[in-house]
Amino acid sequence: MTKRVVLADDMTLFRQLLAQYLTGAGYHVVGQAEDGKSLRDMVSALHPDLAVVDIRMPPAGRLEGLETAVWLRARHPGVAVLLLSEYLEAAHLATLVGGQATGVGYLLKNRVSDKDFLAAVERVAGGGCAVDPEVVSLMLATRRRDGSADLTPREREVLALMAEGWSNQAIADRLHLTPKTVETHIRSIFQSLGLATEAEHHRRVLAVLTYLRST
Amino acid sequence: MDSARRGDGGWTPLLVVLLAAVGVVIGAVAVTLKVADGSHPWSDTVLSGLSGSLFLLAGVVTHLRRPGNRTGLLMMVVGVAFFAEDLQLSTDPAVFSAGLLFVHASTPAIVHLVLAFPHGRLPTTAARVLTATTYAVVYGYTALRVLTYDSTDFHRPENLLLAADRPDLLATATDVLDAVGVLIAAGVVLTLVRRFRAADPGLRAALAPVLLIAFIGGIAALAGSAVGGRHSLYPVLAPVYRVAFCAWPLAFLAGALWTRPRRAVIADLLIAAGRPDATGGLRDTLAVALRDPSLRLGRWRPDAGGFVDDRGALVSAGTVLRDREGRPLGALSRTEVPWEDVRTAEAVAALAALVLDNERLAVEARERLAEVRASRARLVSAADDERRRVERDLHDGAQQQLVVLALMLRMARHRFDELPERDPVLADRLDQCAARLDEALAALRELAHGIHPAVLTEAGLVPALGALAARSPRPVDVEAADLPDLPAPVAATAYFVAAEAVTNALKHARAETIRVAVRCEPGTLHVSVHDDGVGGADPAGGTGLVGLRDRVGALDGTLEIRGGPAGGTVVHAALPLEER
Repeated sequence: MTKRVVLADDMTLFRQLLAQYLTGAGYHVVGQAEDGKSLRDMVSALHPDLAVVDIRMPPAGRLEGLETAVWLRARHPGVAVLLLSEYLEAAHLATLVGGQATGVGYLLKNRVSDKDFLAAVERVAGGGCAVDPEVVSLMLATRRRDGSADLTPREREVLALMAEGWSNQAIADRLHLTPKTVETHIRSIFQSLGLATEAEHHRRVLAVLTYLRST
Repeated sequence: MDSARRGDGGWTPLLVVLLAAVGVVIGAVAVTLKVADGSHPWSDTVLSGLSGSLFLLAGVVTHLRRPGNRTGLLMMVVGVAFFAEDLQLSTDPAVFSAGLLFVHASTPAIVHLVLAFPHGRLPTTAARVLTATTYAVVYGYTALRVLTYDSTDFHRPENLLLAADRPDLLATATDVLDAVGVLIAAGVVLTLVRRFRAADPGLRAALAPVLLIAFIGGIAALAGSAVGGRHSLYPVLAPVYRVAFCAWPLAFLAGALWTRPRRAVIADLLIAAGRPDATGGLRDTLAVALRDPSLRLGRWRPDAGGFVDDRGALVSAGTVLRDREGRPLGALSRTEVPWEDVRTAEAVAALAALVLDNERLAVEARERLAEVRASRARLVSAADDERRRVERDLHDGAQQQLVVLALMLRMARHRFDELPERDPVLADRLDQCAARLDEALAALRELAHGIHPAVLTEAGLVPALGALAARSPRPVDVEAADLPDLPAPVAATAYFVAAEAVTNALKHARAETIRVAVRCEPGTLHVSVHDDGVGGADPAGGTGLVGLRDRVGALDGTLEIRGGPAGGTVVHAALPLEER
């Protein structure tokens, strides 16, 4: 079934091209909004499967996109939200995801031209999640003081790929490890973060968030 | 000070010179006549010559020290009149006749002087009436005498002004004069006693020598008259009176010039003027130092076109205080004509002018400093706005274009991948294009970030510092407790301080770890960056640090760069959060 998508960005040229791109990739772009308010109206009216939202929108050009995304996820839990931004901020990710790590994505805007972008869109639209790998490195870079829940460098790498939404097999391929080794790392990560009892599909993103929050 | 306002007018110096010249000439004539007359003992001649001369001289000195006070002039008039009385000793009919006009000339002058002392003018209506009466009676009697006195009857030169020989009329007039003279003398004594009793200690000190000498002389004269010329005591009493009279001008001089020691006044003033509230209480300070509660101080107010005191009332310009360029600063106005030492008054005025000038300069400096601060803050704020605008333009313009271009390239690549026959060289070219485009985009993002980080505008200081840390190749530890909403200029300045310090630590100090700490005290935001590098940051050197210092200074904050306790460098900025 064709996924229905709305786009929100005040950069018209970019938005239209993205619509074209997603249409070419088999999505049905049912609406385009220029600001948070019209996006809310549009989602409430159209009930799309996915909203791709730029964080910087009128009127103030600050965090309207984030605020709208949070509103959407609270009001329309069935609508997946992919937030695009010029920069990444761990606090924004925590705000966006809240307690529900499903159907949510947070990517740098220039990822749209990455070959993995469509895969990320697909994951998010399918109820999965996609977190920009830079978020993890951002947080790893700033997290120094608290010795607890410290991960090994390899575990961090695995965590970063998990955050991006990759499967165990994909992680194994990328890190040139066996899937079994990856599983061991992931178990260790869950253990360290006290997430042993969570359901698998939640666990992976929650692991990232928990780790980030522990900073 | 305005010398024109101090004196009675431009003609006063001329009058002084004229009086002095006339006094000297008449004095010389009088002494010569007295010696030629032969009927006077030499002691009498010497003492009367001395008395007149002393009145003249003391008058001149008093006038020079108190140009605004007529006491000096009155003393000189007494001296001249005293000498003029002796012109009647001349054997020349013309000089003799003229001398007859001045036989009692010193009496009204002395009454005038005594009643006007020490302020130089007659303070009460009673004093004015008494003085005027004395002049009228004495000169009325003199005129009558000149017209009716046939001097040849007394073996004197011919009275050229004689109208009718009427000894009977003259005798009656003399009786009247004696009676009126007693009344006037009583009036004068009464006035002086009352004034002395009412006087404050300063005035008493001035009046005391004059009254003491007058008292001694008066007692001696009265006693002499009472015992008569033939009594054995008379030769003792007469010299006492003469010597007393001779010492009188000196008593006037002492009284007129008496003042608190100048140094004491100035010292009091200096101490008082040095107090923090000196400018507000300058009037009181001056009034106390000069012991003149009537003193008023006005500050120059161009908008009011005059001098205005603390209560907002206009003050007449008694003594205008000016700065070194001659611009008016203020004015001292006194109800009483000042009778301190003129040098003291000048010093007091100069000191008051200094305090006022200082006060004016302080106000000007404060105003200018406030202007400069405001203008600096505006400059920084304008520069920040400009940076934000440029960043936004880059974001909305070039960055969007490049992202669009990258996306188009990606779409082209997808299309290409779907082709049945793919050219590997073209595929390679497309990949290279995409890679270069990513680099260009990354460079542009870096540029925009350096100009003004979007994260700072959009998310605030702490996320911006987090982003700063994330971009660092070496570990940067950001420690930021709960911060309130910061004003944009403060947040931007704090960010740029941290960014510059981190950059320097990495680039110059080769630091391994860097700690950025931001904490908020009431009213102040503290940003400090510690590194473990080689140190040696020169606070004065480097455009980056100088620029930071200016930036921090524009917000009235302080920037401190010093060696850390365990090596490395500490950069600390304290930024005020409240409007000054």
